[in-house]
Amino acid sequence: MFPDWVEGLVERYSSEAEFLDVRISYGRNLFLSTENGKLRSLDQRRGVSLGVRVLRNGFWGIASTDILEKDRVEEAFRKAISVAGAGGKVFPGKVNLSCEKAYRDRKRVHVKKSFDQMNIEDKQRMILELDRRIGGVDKRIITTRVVYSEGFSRRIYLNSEGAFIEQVIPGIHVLLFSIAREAMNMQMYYASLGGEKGLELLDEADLYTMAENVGREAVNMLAAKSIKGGFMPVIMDGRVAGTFAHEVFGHAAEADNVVNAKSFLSGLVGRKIGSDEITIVDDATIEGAYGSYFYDDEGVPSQRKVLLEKGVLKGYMHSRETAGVFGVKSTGNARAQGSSSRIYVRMSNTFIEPGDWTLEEMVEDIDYGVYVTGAMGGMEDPIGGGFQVSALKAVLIEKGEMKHLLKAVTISGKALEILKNVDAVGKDFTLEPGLCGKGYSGDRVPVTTGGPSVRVKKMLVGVSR
Amino acid sequence: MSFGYARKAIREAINRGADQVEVRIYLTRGRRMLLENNRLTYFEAPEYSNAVIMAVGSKKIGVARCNGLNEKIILDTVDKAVASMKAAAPDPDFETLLQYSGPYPTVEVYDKRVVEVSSEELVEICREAVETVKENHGTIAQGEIYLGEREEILLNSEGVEAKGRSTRIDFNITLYVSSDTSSSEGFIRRGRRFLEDLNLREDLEKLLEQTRLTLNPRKVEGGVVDVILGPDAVEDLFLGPLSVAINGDNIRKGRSAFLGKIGAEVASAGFTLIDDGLLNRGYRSSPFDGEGYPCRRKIVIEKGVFKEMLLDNYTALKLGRSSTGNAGLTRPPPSVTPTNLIVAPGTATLEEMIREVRKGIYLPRATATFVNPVTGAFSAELRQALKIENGEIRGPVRWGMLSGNVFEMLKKIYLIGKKQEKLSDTITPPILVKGVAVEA
Repeated sequence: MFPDWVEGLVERYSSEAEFLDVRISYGRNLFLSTENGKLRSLDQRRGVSLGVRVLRNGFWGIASTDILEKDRVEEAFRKAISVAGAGGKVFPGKVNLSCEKAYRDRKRVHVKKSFDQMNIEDKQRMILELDRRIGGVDKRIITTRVVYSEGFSRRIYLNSEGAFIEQVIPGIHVLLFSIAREAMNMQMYYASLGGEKGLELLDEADLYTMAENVGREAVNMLAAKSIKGGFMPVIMDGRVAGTFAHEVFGHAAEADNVVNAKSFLSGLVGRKIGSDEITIVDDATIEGAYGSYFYDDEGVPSQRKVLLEKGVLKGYMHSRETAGVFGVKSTGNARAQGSSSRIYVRMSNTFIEPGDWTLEEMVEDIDYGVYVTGAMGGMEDPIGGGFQVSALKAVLIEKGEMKHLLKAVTISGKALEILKNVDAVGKDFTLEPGLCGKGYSGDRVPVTTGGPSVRVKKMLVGVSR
Repeated sequence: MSFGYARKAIREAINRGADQVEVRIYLTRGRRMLLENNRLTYFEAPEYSNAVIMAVGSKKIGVARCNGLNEKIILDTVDKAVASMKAAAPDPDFETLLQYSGPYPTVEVYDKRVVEVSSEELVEICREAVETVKENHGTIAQGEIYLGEREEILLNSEGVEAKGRSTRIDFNITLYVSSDTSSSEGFIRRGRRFLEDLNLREDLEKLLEQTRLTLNPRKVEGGVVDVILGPDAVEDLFLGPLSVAINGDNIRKGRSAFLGKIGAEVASAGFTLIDDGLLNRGYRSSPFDGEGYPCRRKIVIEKGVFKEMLLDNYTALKLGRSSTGNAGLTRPPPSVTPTNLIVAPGTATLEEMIREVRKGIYLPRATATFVNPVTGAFSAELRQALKIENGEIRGPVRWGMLSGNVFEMLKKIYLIGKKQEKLSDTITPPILVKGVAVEA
């Protein structure tokens, strides 16, 4: 239950701060995982935390506790005020939060099929069957893994301007993973799906076929060949294009990175930096998407923002603090991993808008190039605008035709060159759920990334052995 | 913190049908300072209390976790752990929780100064860091300094009663230096146990110097060259795949590159790797591991030969061996993890290593790197590289990619430096590797 005395503490301690807010989060989750045909874990978690954020002398102090007893919470208020005071003496700052309406609201994402409509034993049977399907494809599969998670988070936000917001958001996620081995050659593959949904997610996809595909792709990659690397045309599938939209463009469009001189997009608003083909959006309002929310962690309503429109940079994503610096309104992108974590400007669902090409049309024009599908990880480089992705799977394109699989392919380039070199955008579209980390503590928030297939005229293709 | 809650949780779980129970409770208090754009901008004071309860019955294992500890929450979590256990499919490989009741070795991992240092003194440490960077014409893009203490108790129904407390200091700083025509980024990450081991000024000055050397890079030439990996680059490239390969659970399950290689040559003769959980002030040192087994020092690779894999109790029992004190915290088991990984020093100075190279690259750190930890395949974008020609450093190079396979590189190690550097849980000297591919 929400301890209503917290509002009294906000009122009492507001006089000692220029601004004060409190975030409380409650969570309940179930995790199930398998490994090689066996149940690996069945784990139930509950969590609670309360964080107080205080602005004094233009300096932020945060203190947190997970013991929601009045004296412990009051101690956290005092600690936040004390550390903000210590920091503000030596590092006074100027923070002008943008003026925003103080909402009082309660919101909930309603699921179509609640988590208790399937008992734990049946969920376990389902993931064991998925694990069996992955491994059943071929004897060369040495590792199979399935991870299933479900849960709810209830987040409460209060501030010294009178805001009170409560939002309840469910989450469900399934990850399928395989490793195939032949002598010293080992290849991995994975697929995942997830959203702010209930068990209806499991009915929306053919999980068993997906599982077999995850096994088959790892085995297929055993026969992948190497080529000599170099500059060539590259088609990124929607997952890789999404990684580009998020890791390189998206992080550089976070206004805190711009303010801290960590963005290659600094000073480029209104300028044409990409080809006409490319439009990039961050949209926190997509129903059921893993990165959506009603209000951000400063109580600002979620929004859809066109960041890049037909190659023209339209604006950055903002928290109240960065909006104050730029003299604009917050875009509702202030997010934190939990109540005890600091707020950064964060993305939500970030993607490239689809165009009108088919994959076949994109391939037809390529004499020698690479089709890259799925990313094993992206490297953010908002300062330099460097983009590097290790491909989950890659295919050689020769004389307008898909040829054979390529192993250990990495693609890289400079974001501003890639944006200009996009010459075709597909009509297909995919959104992939994930967690985005920011800061060294790796504060993670749920996001989705995605887009259509995107063709880039020239990128550096690296091949490890 | 007392054993009271944990003992009660064990009793209650047994009463509700568990055969064996493990309870781990920990309290964490810390202070974290965040630096941005040459300013301290956030000061955080987080505090957590967590419990992990694992119940086992008829080889079925259930786990439940909670925070915000009080008796009601812990008992609710016991219920969840036992309910999870009853619902779980059995794990035929599980034999028993660790049966051990001491003694435990001692190791220096707690510094009361870390806890007692005032918030004002910490702000002063940050001010000094900012001044150091500014004096050297640099800018801290992002930085974080964390100091915290952890109290931990670990009990199981089979006799384990372990209690410990430790302190930890982490700092991570990304900075850049600019000239009229170029800007270059540098990054450092270090972990310590004792406040007096934090040499922020010295570490930052070294990083600034190193970063300045990479201003105004030229385009790298492709080809097969010799590469000197600085200590950070050794960690960035080698330690992930090595940790996977020496992990006994991975070996048992056939997903280690060192499968069937105990006693075989896996690296050049100069390469020795030690896992030491009892290193005084070591970042991952502890008297006991995640299952409550005493930690110890072991030679994993000796003069290039793979000697000993890392084991937890769960995996050791399957292999008819004893735990090596390398149980991690993932529950349920298996969970095998290295402690402090130490690459033994060689005999060469960095200057001697550079003189050995006709055509090559010195890579102080490999930030933009993808390493497949299972296969060892990697590619590393050259962001902070220096060209070496005829035994001399010839200035910075960029816009290329180093690629290859870590396990093949281990066999091409030509020289190992004599000066080790303590990073966090890795201690290593620089290493010279012959014949690595660079794509321009």
